[in-house]
Amino acid sequence: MLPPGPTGKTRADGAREKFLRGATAMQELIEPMVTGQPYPIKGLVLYGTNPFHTIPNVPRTKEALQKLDFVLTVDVLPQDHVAWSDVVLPEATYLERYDELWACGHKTPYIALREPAIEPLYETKPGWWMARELGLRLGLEAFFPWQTAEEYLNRRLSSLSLNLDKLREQGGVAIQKGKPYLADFEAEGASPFGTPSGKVELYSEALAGAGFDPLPEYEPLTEAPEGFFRLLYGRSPVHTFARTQNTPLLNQLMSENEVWLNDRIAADLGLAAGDQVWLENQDGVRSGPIKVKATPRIRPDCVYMVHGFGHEAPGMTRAHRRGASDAALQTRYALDPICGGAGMRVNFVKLVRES
Amino acid sequence: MATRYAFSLDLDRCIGCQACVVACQAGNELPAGDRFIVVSDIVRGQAPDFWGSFAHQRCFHCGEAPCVAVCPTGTLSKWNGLTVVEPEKCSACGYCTDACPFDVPHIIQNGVSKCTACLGLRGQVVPVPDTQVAQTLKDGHIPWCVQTCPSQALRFGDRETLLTEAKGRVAALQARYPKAQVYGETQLGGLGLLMVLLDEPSVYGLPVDPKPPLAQTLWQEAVQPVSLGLSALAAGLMGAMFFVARRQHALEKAELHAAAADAPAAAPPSAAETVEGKHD
Repeated sequence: MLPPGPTGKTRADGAREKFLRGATAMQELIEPMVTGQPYPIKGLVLYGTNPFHTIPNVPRTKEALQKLDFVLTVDVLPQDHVAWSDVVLPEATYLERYDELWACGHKTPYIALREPAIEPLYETKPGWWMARELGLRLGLEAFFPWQTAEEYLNRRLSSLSLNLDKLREQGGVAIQKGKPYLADFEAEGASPFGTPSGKVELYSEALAGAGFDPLPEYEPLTEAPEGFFRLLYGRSPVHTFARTQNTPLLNQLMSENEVWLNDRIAADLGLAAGDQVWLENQDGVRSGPIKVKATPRIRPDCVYMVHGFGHEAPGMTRAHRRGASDAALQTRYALDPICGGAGMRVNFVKLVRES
Repeated sequence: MATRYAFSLDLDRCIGCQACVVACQAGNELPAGDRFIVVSDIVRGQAPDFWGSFAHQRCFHCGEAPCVAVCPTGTLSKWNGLTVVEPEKCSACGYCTDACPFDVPHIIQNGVSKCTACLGLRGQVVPVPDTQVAQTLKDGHIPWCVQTCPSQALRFGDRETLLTEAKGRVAALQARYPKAQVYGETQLGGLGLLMVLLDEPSVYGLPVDPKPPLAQTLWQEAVQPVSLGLSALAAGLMGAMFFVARRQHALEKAELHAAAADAPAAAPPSAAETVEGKHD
């Protein structure tokens, strides 16, 4: 176990207890919201995330939202979870607002400007404006010693002897030389790897010290029960997460997802490409209707679907009830005990022909 | 000699992301539902041993373009190797849709719709005067699809240069893909979209030797000349018949006058004058 964090307090998501280390494990916050353990959670601010599509076990998430005293949602779209919020702040899209500098600490680091192309439409405001106005009203003036986004960004850029005008002149990007090669580090007698050996470690003493397998071994997976397929999900290059299915051009290109099924299995089941089915998981949770894609590209014991479809919110006019949601079928998940990630490909579904 | 412009598409580099499709739709402001590029999957074999690639359906800018040959209004024409469109001339007859061996042009909103290498937006006059386009191209005119392609599978420029590059790519790819080849070097006067294929053209749904449909060839080489002859013959006969009819009419008129002179009581002279006046 790692020592407690700088504050010494227990974290609600179970970091250092349920898993070794890592950023916030969002799915681990659902149980504390419901149970109030290890401490009560009263409020939630959701910004740019759709919990019904990103966190497994949607019914439990809805239960958690109902337990909270206050839910604030900031979003650019009328997504499913928006209707579950006490207060909704509609944000201007990325084309209508300044954002924080895009600072990439890659081996060739760069800073990129994110600025508006047009004024915000309708009653939307940029996120920075909301944060500042809320901060001032909460007595947090000390954290907002600037009036505008331009002022804030200019102050940030001044440490690089840059300002907004200069950054725009050079195309909106400031690239640094960086250290892209191992030789760059060797010349300084340093290592780019933060490991005890200073090398890429296949055998990790750090993991061994924390009680984990220092050289992970393959553990066979549970086979799908008879009549079920392992539910896999992934991305299409056309869509980004669960947030572009309603975008006109992208919706036109791919308006719904399909359930990929091995073509030989499809033939055995008497299913043809384009047939409509419903998916039912091991816990009896059923998806909306989805079309079959019979393909040799998938192994016979699995089915696959592109993530992000099956939007329930009527405001998502084009994406509303088009295709099915993989997240809705993920009532179970496996917690990675090292980084706290949620492994969601542990659910099984069967194909049902009638609703 | 003017530069012959062309596209090239390296299907070993294409990742099937369809960014070209969206960039084309957005950049050319195409009406909802219209598109100039269609990308589809090709799969052979069974998981886990299968091979996949992507097929692109888009204008090949044929050197000898059947759509241009068949277009009766001059809407479609060739400009420095590219098949360009002047939409305001289009009568939406649809001949081009039947003529294209690649099934590319389509009629949308009463006009032909197809790739023009981004030489002007839909609705504008294309091509603009040659000097102006030449200037645009010199200043680094790059069609939207090429600008957007994240894997540099798409290129645009001088056809000779692109052809040399494509052949070089094929030579390198043949170690892995023995049937790798350049598609479009010679077909239909040389295509203005050179494709680096990893297998036979048929795998990608492409004809080895694309030709305009037989009906079109027959129409242009047999029916049209014959019908022209028939039309000329018909016109000649019409002329001859006009003279015959005129002579007949003159004879009838003379008979009528003769009858009126024989029986003045039955038909008053004023009536005969009226008839004569009408006929003159």
